[in-house]
Amino acid sequence: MLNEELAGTLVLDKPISNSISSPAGTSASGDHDNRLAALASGLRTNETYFDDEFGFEIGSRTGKMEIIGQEGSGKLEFKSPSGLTMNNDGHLVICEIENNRLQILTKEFTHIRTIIGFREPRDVCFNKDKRYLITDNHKLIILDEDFHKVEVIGSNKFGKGRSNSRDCCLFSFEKKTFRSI
Amino acid sequence: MKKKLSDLFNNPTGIGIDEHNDDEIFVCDTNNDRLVVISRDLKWIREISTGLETSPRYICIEKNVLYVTSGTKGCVLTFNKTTDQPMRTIPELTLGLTIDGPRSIRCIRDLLFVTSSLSKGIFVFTIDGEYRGELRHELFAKPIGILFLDDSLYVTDADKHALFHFSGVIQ
Repeated sequence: MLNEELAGTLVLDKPISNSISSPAGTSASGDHDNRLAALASGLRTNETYFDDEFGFEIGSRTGKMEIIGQEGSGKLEFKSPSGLTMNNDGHLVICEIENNRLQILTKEFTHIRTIIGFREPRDVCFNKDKRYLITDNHKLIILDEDFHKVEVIGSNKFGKGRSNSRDCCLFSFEKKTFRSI
Repeated sequence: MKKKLSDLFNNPTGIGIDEHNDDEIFVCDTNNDRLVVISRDLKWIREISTGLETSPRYICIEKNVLYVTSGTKGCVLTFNKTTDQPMRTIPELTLGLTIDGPRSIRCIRDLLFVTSSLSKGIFVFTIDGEYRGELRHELFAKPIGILFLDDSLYVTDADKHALFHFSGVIQ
């Protein structure tokens, strides 16, 4: 487990003019360097910086940045984390493509549960029916709030879902279960 | 028309829920270049073509507009949710700006935040498509997922294998 505060600033690179005629890169990155330098000299570290033009205040007093986790398969470790959402308990739910699992953490980054049994989960949503919707391989998996399977749409075989004369694949991997560990 | 939902998807990625319309579920069916719309009780409703070779990745829904990141076009495609018709491209093609490897998209306070997995930042646009800049952090390697919660911004990074947490960013 790694849960450390690291120095660093979130910087907004603003377009240098209203009319950008060249591809992003050359002039924009020059501006970026200047801003980084300005921030490094002008602000304390581990601050979060937002432009107040957003309507967000510059978080120079309260802003904090932390990086949670490192590469691995244990608790509070990740492999290719992708989509994330919040569930009914206010917990973070994070897909990990290469670990084939979901991790549930509190907002204070205490590990709650790990749910295994996926095959490259990419995104997760939590809806008003207290169900998790998860895109995984070539399917959409629907789990209830206890992570029991409600339904699986699609299969591990890709398709287009049109004029399909076979109905063999609908819940073809019915045997599959999702386990909390 | 009743459709079988077997063999439906080809590498589906992002999911969006339309809270203003009976919690309809929008799934980015990435390799089929379309969005699949499913009802709350998990019945097929319709599909929306996102265009040839667009690879729709992630979606957010705001004010009757679908905002969909296109992996191959390096931009955000928008669609009228009522008519399914394509609207503007963000950023405007005339800007000559592309979002390298766009992934997750979220809308908060009429601003769109789009992770760029290849340029290691988060692009910011107004919901009308005006470019407002790019959020960068020196430790971003391949930002993918973003989530705004309370006063915090959370970012998953697929190369750092970590979760970034910026608190106090929204006040």
